Amino acid sequence: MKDVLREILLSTADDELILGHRDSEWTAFAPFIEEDIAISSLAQDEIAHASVYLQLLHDLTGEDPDRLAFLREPEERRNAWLLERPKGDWAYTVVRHVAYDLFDDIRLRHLARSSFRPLAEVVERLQREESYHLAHGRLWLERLAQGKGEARQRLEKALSAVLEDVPGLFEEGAGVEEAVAQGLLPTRPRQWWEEWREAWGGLLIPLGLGAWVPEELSLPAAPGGRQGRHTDQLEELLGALSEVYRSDPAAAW
Amino acid sequence: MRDDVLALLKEVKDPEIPTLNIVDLGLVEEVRFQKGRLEIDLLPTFTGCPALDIIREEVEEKASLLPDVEEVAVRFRLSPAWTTDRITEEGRAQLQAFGIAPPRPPKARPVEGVTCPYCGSSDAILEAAFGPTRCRSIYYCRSCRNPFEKMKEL
Repeated sequence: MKDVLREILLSTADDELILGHRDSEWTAFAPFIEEDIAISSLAQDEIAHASVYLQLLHDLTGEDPDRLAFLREPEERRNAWLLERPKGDWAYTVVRHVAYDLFDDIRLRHLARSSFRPLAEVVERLQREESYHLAHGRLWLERLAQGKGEARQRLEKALSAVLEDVPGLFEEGAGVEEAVAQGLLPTRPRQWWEEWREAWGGLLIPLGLGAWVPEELSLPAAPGGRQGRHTDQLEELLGALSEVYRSDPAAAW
Repeated sequence: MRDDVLALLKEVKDPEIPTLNIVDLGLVEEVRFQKGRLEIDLLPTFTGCPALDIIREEVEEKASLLPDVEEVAVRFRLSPAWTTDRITEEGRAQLQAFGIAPPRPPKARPVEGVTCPYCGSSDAILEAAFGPTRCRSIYYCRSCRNPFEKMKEL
């Protein structure tokens, strides 16, 4: 059971940690000062949430959360590819966040019914904080969708790029069947697709972006992030993420 | 014992809001005392809030002053979830005194507007959802023309 739970906790923690790091790359570079604060707050939230999941893992296996966050090799990471992609332009950042936040919202709702009580219990706490992320993303999406010319082009390009990686969010890691059988995961991730598609369509269609609402979930044939296979972009990110930690692993922060 | 502890903990203020104490903020969930060991369970407002370690240290320091207490253990718990509904009436007044609009009580949301902590007008608009700390948003009062902060509802 421990191995199965470990996969669930790691994939969730890694999504949050890696996106949080990408968000933090905007600190001091966001389009304007209020947004700089907003995206930095999002980064803080995501990284804090990763630490909550890693703490649950620590309680279960005794592994050190800092070492898990900073020292795991790429093949031990379980985040989806969507989260490790470089931050791109502002349109990409907004679209990726919305696509992920919708997925995360659905995942949290299912995890709230997990038979692993410690996980189900913290989920309510996290949901309350995440609701502000979606509100923020929705506002930006509306704003960008009203733009013309270059703004519109960038938005469309971002939507296409994000959609290529969205199926990877629903990829299933090792032990999913066992996790479902034991109720640790109330449903299989691929069954969350319809909910995601509906929520995504609900946002995009009123903005005239219905062309970017996919019908079917086409899971990639080759293994992806949930199975430990990553792009070089993650390796680069991990170098930056762990640089300070590696300089003195014994330091207390 | 619980009452003594609570009275003492009213001296511990939120490091980011010096008028607000942690009891009225609703942080204290459980107090247990047995054979010289005092255990205090606190609920963090936001997960991973950078003020948590400061609060923990102050609580430990204060609680160790109580008679008969030999050992203090402070623990942060995520369950039950802290919500802004845990802030007491006094806590709301303390927030207001610091110039932060308190979160609206659950029944008033989202119908009622946000009240400016300076002039009391409800003619305020949201300027930025994220403020100087993760738990605050920034509003602008169209009546007295001041920007002000408001604690988010959670």
